[in-house]
Amino acid sequence: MEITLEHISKHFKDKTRSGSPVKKAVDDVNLHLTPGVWGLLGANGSGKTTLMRMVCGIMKPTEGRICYDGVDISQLGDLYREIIGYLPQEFGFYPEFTVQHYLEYIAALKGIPDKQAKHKIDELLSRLSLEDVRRKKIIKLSGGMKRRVGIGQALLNDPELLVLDEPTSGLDPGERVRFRNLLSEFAQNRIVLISTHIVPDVEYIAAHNAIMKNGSILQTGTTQQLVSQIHGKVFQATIPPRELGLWESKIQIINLRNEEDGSICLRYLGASSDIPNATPQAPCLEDLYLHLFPRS
Amino acid sequence: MKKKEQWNNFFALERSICYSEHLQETIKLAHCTNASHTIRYRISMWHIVVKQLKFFALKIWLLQGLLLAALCALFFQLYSISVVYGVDAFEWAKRVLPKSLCLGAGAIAVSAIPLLSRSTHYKMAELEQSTYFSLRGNLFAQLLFMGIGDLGMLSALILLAIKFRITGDTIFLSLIIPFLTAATFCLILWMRTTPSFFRNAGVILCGASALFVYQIADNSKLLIPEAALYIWILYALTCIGIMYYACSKLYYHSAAETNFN
Repeated sequence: MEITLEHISKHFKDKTRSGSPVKKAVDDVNLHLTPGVWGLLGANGSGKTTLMRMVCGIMKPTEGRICYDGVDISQLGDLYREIIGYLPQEFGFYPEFTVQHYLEYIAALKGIPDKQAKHKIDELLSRLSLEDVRRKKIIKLSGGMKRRVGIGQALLNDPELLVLDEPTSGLDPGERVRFRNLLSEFAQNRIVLISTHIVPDVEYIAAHNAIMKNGSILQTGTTQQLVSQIHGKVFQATIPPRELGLWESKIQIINLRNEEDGSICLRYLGASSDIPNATPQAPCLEDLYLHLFPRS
Repeated sequence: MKKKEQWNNFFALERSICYSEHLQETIKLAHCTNASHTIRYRISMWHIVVKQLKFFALKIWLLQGLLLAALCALFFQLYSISVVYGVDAFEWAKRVLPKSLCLGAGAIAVSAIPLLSRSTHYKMAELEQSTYFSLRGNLFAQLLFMGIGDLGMLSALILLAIKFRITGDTIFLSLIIPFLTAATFCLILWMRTTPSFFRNAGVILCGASALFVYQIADNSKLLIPEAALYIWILYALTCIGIMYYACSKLYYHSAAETNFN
């Protein structure tokens, strides 16, 4: 099972500017997705959501094609959507829906027979700890619970391709850990594509990552392959508070922590050990993200 | 017999020749069949409609019922006022009813707008579009329920008009034609414009189209009294054709590109 993106581009007319110039939301993306968890990282406006919409078949690419096991998804049509589970970045609910009704409604749209849907809904409500609120209106739930309902609907049809756009936003750390475990378990023999700003979520579970910038894929690879390029560029040092202003303009600070003794512990990106007594640190994906997107 | 032998010889020959195009087509079909690795049983479109009864039908019919009640209440309120003032109410009703029917037709048609735009308003469209039945599963059910409701409302208004002895051709030109015009315009706007434009301007434009076409129909009775009815029958059939085309295009175009704004 594989999804292949071949020279995918998506152009929009920028009507806010005179002459309506073409804006390239996605520009010549080539990607080969195999079973496992794929992380899609990028700053706001880098084209992640547009790319995901095209992968789900709800937006047609201006150029290129997307193939599932060698077959163009535009030819597969309904068959392709049958195997997709999608959680959009912004998704809503009809205000009158309870959790149960919502899942029944989505199950019907996914073509799932009643008995199968009932069994699956019970299973998902249990796994996502939503049993107590199944008859509660979704509009009255907390943000984290709403997100869990959204994840539940994506898993209703046992999809072979799961596309999640910012799935963990609004979840507390415990919920995020549970969600990561759920995904890791689910991702065996399935393709899971996650886009997120919360880099640690992707770092822990994604076997492969793709980094997008300005509509194009900058880099792809495993977390180890990607972070190896900034090996030797991440340092940690402790400085007195009065020196913070001096170093802020000279180095790229990743993290800043106030210590108990009043000093400041800095984690930063640099070409060499700019700050005296700085110790080199093992880089992580978040460091790479800030290295590639210094202003985000 | 001779022909059977010819066919047998033909197939005997065909088996030994491999057409590359046929082979490619077979490979493609095999991939398509194998695309879904598990056997998935799915419900039919009519099953979706039955399930949507529970979610949407009552709401749609309640809204339409309230609208009809409001229209009738307004009319009868004015009727009773005219009685109080000693006006020949029946004659007054006969004069006023055609315009009232036109307004009613426009109101019935535009009552669909908040229902059709619900999906984008509540940010459900993107999710619905990614499902097996896509937007058409929802759309088919909603249009069906709205159509049933519209028929009911139009029937009620026709009965009201008949009670006041309005002639058939007046009912046709005052109610049916404006309704078909507004409904056709509503569907076209929905397909061709952004959801926000449809929500904001659709009511005004569809209502205006009903009034506009009513004025033309009313004046055409004076200008070409003999041919007017036939022309408008043709117009009505054209509207029905356009609506059918629009609905089938929405139904069969499963991966439509939706403007999510």
